[in-house]
Amino acid sequence: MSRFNLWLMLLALALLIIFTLHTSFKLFDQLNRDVSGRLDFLTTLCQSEGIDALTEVIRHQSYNNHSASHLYYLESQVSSPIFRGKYYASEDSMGGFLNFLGALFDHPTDLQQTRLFLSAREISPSLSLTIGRPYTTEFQQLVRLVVNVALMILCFWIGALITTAIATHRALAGMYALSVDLERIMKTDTSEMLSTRSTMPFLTEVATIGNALLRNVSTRRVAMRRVADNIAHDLRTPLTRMRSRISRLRLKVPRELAGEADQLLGDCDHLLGSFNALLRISVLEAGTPIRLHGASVSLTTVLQDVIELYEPVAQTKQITCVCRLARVPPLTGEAQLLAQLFANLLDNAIKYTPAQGCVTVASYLVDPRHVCVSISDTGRGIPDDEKRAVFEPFYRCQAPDDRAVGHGLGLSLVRAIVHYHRGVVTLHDNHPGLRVEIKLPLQTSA
Amino acid sequence: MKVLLIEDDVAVAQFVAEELIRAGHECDISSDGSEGLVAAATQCWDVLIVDRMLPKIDGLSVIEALRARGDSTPVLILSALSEVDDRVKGLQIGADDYLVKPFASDELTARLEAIFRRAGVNRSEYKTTLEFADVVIDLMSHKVTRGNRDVSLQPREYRLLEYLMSNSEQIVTRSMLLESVWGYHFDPQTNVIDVHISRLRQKIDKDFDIPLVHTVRGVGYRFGF
Repeated sequence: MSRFNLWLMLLALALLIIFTLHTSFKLFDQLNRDVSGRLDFLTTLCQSEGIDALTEVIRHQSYNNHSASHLYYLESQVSSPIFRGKYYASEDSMGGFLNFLGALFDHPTDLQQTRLFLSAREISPSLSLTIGRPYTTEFQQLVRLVVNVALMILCFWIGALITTAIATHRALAGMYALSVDLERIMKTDTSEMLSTRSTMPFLTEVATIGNALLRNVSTRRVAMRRVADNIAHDLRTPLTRMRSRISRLRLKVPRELAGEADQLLGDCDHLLGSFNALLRISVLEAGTPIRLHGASVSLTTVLQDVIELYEPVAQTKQITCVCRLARVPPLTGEAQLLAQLFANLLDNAIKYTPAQGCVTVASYLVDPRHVCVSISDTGRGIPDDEKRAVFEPFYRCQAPDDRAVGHGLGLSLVRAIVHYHRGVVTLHDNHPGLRVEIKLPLQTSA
Repeated sequence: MKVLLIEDDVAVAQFVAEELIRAGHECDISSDGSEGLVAAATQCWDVLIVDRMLPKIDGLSVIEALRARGDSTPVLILSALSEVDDRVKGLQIGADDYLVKPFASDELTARLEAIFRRAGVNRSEYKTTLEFADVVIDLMSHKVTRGNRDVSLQPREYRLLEYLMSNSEQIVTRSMLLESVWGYHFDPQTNVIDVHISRLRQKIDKDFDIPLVHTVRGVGYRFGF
């Protein structure tokens, strides 16, 4: 039960108590005024017309009438009344009310007993009159009223409890759906927006704010990409000229400086490679993913060609290359991009596997609509906390010997190509080493 | 070689012209498609270099028009568009090679010489063997010999040797080899081609006094003396 519901229940109880007290006081006041009025009348009658007139009235109203609404008791000495039942007698209004209230909760034990409101007055020094007013019916009405109100309050409270539970559940379900959507958008890195079609206004507001945030991120990403593109494009041309001039200069410099010139050429090639990869990633990420009913590509042929390209490199490093390629249906894709994708992964696998290690390339059907290609090595692998970050451009693993290898864009390009083919790339531990799994959709009919 | 360069970007045109003249070739420049088409149709050229995006008449339309009138002068397309589709479109229309800007001057001259040489070979009579020094390739049976010894090559090694021998005494770049032998238009960023060349060298040059497969540092390879 929530704190809100607890407070609601306490408030309902307080209201019930106030209502009971108020209604009881009204009953008390009504009975008090009735009995006091009769006492006043009979006292005046006795004083003006004598004791006979008084007894006549009492007899007439009480003893001859079995259904009398009042009981009278006249005695020459003031003493305790002889009425049977629960009664009240007091002149003091507040104390009388408290006594009356106490009597309300004191249920008669004998069914013959009746609830009486008693009041006595000394008419003369030797004569006292006591009037008893039964109020069982009024009491029952009061109890019924209080019970009804209590039931109403209980119903209201249970209703509020159910409504709150439903509203909370719907709000939480809506929030959960929003968080799932947001996580998916962040993971897939698309320009998709959150749905604002919610029946709950505050969820619509949250989704609208979320969309504004996503648009902002997307705009900044596009702007950043444009700047990167411009830098890459504008720097490529002068860099290429510089490379050509160094290449010419190398033929003229003395032999002892040729090594320096070669290093300069290597640096130029490294920079050009980075720029080309950046531009390629940018083009792939900016475009819409491939349609799944386009030109078909034989995945097995692409893989066999790439493996054949890299096998001598593995042999040179004394690494065993194992192929387990299943017969899979063709998929829609661009053979050049797929070749580049697997070349990058195979290149990495060979690069990070020590001598006498093993690199395995396998392809198999996951289900009738998807094929999986796994490339595993027996190298040092990638720690779990870096498995996501390695796909970011220019990210370097924490391992100290990783810093000088490659231009840091290989896996970013892999991710861009996989997403372009509507696939998913995941990294797993190979115990030891790394296993890269690429799940790609197969060709569908148009 | 007498080269016509059809390029609207003044800086690129000057750079290319300088590089070609430096390499010992003649070069004229046309700055738009219309002017270039007239120059190509009215004079005799060894090779044409055509930019893909040109004012007045598009580069592809220039090539199409030349091919339509029976002009078979080798054409190299220059383009800033590096997508595979554009490359395929350019080659389908009748171009001989495709080079993406920016490019190294060595790459440009190597490709120009290769397409010029290829055109010359195509014009000559049909050959069934390729010969250089004491290396002979039988193009029909794919049999390779050096001296009196048979050389056993894997299919890809055979294609590598065939391409190198077709361009003997010419520099071929790594990207030219990747494109021609493997059909890849991307740079694998590693020494993968060097490893293949090294294996070929082991089979061709080992135990022979005169090495024929040479590495040209920073550029590529050369098959020759």
